[in-house]
Amino acid sequence: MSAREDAVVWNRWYPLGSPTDIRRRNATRTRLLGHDIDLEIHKTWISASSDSRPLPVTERLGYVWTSLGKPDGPPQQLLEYYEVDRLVMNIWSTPIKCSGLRIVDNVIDNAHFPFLHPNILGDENHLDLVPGEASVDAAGALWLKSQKAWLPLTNSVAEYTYRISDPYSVVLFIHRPTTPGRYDYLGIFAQPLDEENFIAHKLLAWIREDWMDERQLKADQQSISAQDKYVLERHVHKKLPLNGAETSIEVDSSSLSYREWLRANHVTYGAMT
Amino acid sequence: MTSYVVALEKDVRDYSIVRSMMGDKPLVIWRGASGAINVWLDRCPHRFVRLSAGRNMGGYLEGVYHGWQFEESGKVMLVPAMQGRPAHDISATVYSTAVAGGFVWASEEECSPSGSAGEPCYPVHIAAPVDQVRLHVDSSVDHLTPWGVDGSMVYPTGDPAQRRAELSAIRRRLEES
Ligand code: FES
Ligand SMILES: [Fe+2]
Repeated sequence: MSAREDAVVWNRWYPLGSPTDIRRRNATRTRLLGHDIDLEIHKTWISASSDSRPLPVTERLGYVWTSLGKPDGPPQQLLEYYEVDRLVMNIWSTPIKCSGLRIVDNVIDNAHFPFLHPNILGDENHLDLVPGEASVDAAGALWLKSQKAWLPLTNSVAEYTYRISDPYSVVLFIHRPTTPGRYDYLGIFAQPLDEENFIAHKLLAWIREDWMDERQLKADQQSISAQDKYVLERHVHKKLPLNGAETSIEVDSSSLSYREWLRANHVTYGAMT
Repeated sequence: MTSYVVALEKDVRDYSIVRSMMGDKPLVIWRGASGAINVWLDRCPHRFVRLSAGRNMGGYLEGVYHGWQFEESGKVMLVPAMQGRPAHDISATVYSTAVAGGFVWASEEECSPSGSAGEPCYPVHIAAPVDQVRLHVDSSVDHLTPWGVDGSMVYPTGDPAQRRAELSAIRRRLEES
């Protein structure tokens, strides 16, 4: 299908990468929703166009964002990203061969931790999960609050909250027991190249601690993402099924809430309906 | 009623997984602890990940994504996140299978190697054009250990050393052809 037919997807902002990466690679061409995007790298800013049509561009959260349609506001916000005591970085921008909707589904799913990320995000001796509580806020964003899962890295149960304000993106709030009310953030923003390919842009915005080594943190997060890439590219169907053909169990409630939310928002691009 | 050759029997070894095709249907083929060869649709009923990306643990096949365990009948015997069997039966799609003349045969109906008719569908890694072979085999070889070279976690078999040997054998076979 053409992305234009899916107004919800068409009229959104999408990241094209971090300005640093774009400059370093001198990237003048990319794709979005099945359309070629030309980038022009100026001294202090980057502009984008599609078939010579200039596109709106803005920089935030360490990425260059654009839209092919008419978004009704700026890209999603995460004000905490700009707090002075945070370590922020783009973990990577990597191409993955499936629908970008699948990575959101992957991020909100804790049941895969012990198997795909053993001894990093989960292990087989601690299989207990507490599914999140789903709600939709006034702005239409889906929230999955207080999902709990064992985290070997800290030897304790971790608590996660997810915000999905665009079909193709998710922000993860990692609860901090030592500073309640403050969170460490991971943002996963898909740049859908077409219905069956996307670039995963992953940002990290954690409260800086003495133990943090920027390079190590980046490497750890990249290996987690590589494990996810392995499984994302091994689905029989590249698009995300919204047709109820999958078999689900109780602990899949977050995954089902996301599918429900996509259906309620009439998202069809990148989905099997 | 058509039955197809889907693999060489000798290729279907313990603790390993063979991928093949029956018409346009992707197959996962594995030998269980009972010694019998199982031919299933290469699709986990849960989130539709390829079962061939998982592991043959002998007594069961393990889904790579959430660790669901499939017994040889195809039924899910354990969902780790539930720490038990699912409340209602969930099963992989199982095909009728027979072993004859060194070949593994399968059919969507009752499998009968002798009464087989129509175009046989040979296992991709034996008879298909080499490009097609690459297409099928490479996608399972790529990123086999995306998490590094320490070998701490390797898919998709119970025994990493064996799987590595097996993959180099497949690669060699591809290069020779
Ligand atoms: S997709 Fe197979 S175990 Fe979840
Ligand atoms: Fe993951």
